[in-house]
Amino acid sequence: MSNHHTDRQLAGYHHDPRFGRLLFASLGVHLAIVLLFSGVLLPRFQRDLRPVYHVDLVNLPVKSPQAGRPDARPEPAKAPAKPAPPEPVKASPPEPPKPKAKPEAVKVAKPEPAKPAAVKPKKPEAAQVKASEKPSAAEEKALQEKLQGMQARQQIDDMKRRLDEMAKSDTRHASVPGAPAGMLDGKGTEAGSSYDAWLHEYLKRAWTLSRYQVSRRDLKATVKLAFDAQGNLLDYNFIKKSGEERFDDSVRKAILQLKKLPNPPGSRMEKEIVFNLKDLLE
Amino acid sequence: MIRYFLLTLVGLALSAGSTLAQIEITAPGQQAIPLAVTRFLPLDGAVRPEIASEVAGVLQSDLDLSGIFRLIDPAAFLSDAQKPGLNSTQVDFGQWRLLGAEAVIKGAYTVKGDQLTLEARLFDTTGRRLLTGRRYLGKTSDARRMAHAFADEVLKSLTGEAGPFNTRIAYISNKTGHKELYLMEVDGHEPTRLTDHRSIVLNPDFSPVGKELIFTSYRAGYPDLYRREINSGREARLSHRKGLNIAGRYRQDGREIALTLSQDGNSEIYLIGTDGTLHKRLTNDWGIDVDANWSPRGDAIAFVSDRQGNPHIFIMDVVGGKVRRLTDAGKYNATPAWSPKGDRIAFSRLEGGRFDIYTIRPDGSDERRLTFGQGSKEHPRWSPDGRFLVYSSDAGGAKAIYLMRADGTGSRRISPAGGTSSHPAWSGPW
Repeated sequence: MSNHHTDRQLAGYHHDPRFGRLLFASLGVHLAIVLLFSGVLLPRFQRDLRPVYHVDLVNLPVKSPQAGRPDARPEPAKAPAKPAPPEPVKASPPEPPKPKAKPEAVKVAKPEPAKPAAVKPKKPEAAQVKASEKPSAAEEKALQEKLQGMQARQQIDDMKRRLDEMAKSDTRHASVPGAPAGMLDGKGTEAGSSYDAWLHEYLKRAWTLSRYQVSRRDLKATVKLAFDAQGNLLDYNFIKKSGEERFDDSVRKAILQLKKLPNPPGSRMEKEIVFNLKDLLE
Repeated sequence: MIRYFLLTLVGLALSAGSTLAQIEITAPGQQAIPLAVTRFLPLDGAVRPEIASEVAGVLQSDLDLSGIFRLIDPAAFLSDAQKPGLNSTQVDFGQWRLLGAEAVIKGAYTVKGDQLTLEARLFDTTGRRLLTGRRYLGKTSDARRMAHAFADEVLKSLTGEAGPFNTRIAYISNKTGHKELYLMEVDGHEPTRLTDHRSIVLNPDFSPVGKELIFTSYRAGYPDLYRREINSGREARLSHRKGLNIAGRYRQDGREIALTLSQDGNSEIYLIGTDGTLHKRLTNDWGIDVDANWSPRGDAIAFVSDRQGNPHIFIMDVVGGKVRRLTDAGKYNATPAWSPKGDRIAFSRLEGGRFDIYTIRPDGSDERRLTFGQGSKEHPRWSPDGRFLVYSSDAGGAKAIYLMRADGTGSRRISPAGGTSSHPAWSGPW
């Protein structure tokens, strides 16, 4: 009985359609595993490889730089309000009289050269009028050139528009959204860098020293610089030398390049500059 | 009491007033000196443009290799490059400053018959002054040598230590079908075959005191140590003891040589005189001890031993005989070379089926890998000033001699094409 039962069971097993499905499912699963490990089914993550530029950004120095930290006082909110006044100033009538004054001055000073200058712009206008009256082949060409020029302008406008769109679609964000651009220690209202930050960058650029010129990395020299209001270097002296001639010489050469600062400090200025090699590349 | 308090307040106020805000600059903005190397101009006599271009080429190549300079493209040079004046009052420094050059090399030559006079000057464009100048007299065939010598002088002026460009590199090449000893300039020019043993020549080393070399050769059928005077070509078999006589290295005084002998069955390091007499047995261990290399003071040797299992670098105090293990990482470290300043030891390590070059401090700290990428890099040797390393590499197919800065940058092939080249050794001042 039991044997008969077993035979039936086996027969049923062999004829059971579920066996075929199971077999098929098993094959499918194995195939999926093989494909998964071979990497065919894995989604290919493409990294957004944007070009990376190393840029030393040095803003022009301002008298009262604003803070760049989000925890700074809400003064930056006022900052946009302050630059606003210049707009009404620009919109106010003092500007229009300026161009008027200039041509007058030119006419008085050099009446003869002023005439051809005044005639020249008139010529194309006359040509335009003539072209509208008598559309000759040469003038048609001129018109076509103008049209081409307009098309070029349109293309430039299109490109500008695209650039604006690209800028808007840029997914990069500041680590702190809405954080104002400014200095770490800034307490003022102006966007820009502090004079010390600008001077730091300017001096750094003037300083040349190869790592193969010095045998040690613990070198340090302190120099006192004095500038007048126009940015002329009045005096410099080493408060402390490094003791290594090459290093001190490189510092001296950097200072000698600062005979006149391109951004004058506005008043007499004395600074102590510390030169060291803490961040020199190995 | 109130008076003291007020005085203190005034003192504090004054001291606060005298304290200036400090600006700290933690690295130079430019870490390579912008240098202009002008083409040397004829002073009088024959005009030889090939000499001018050869001198400029050697100077540019040497100074670029130093890593100290950023060479300014000669195409940007203005009119001052064509002016022959070599006095600081005759140089238009403003032009060079306009190009961003902080230093400029100018020069002139005079050729009369076979005689060449070369004048070379290095100017500081910021200080508007002459930094160094040299006049070289010789034959026209010496132009390259003169240029190398001035490149050394430029490095001396800007770093306080002369460069190693006017030296020679010895190496082994099988260009003739046999491994023979060759000599070449530091940039690979003028390769000259020194030996004609028609056998196997290996492992050369320069004498620190004269223009002579020691090397191992199988000329007599066995690996014996030979000595050869370079100028006269005279050669002598220095050590031909039973078994190996290999990897000889001169001590810094040039009076003794450390080499590996296997006369007693096992490979051990011995000390012999320059006349071949045995002075001292340095190692005595069951393991194989080879590749001895002297410390610059001559009081210790670095060598390779498998006494603790795998081949590693060990250091032995030659006087006291005390031995300590230097390398722990890796399973196969070989061919140590002690830097001339004594601060680092270069060696090659086998990993992943190929050798790469590393350096380590003699106390076992600060190990740095210098080479990467394809090919096996072996047999590192230091330049006499410790600025560069020369080594052999098969990265480009056949084994060739390469050169790089001591920090692993600026690697370039120097040995000429043809055959394989290996086992370099760097001479002292030539």
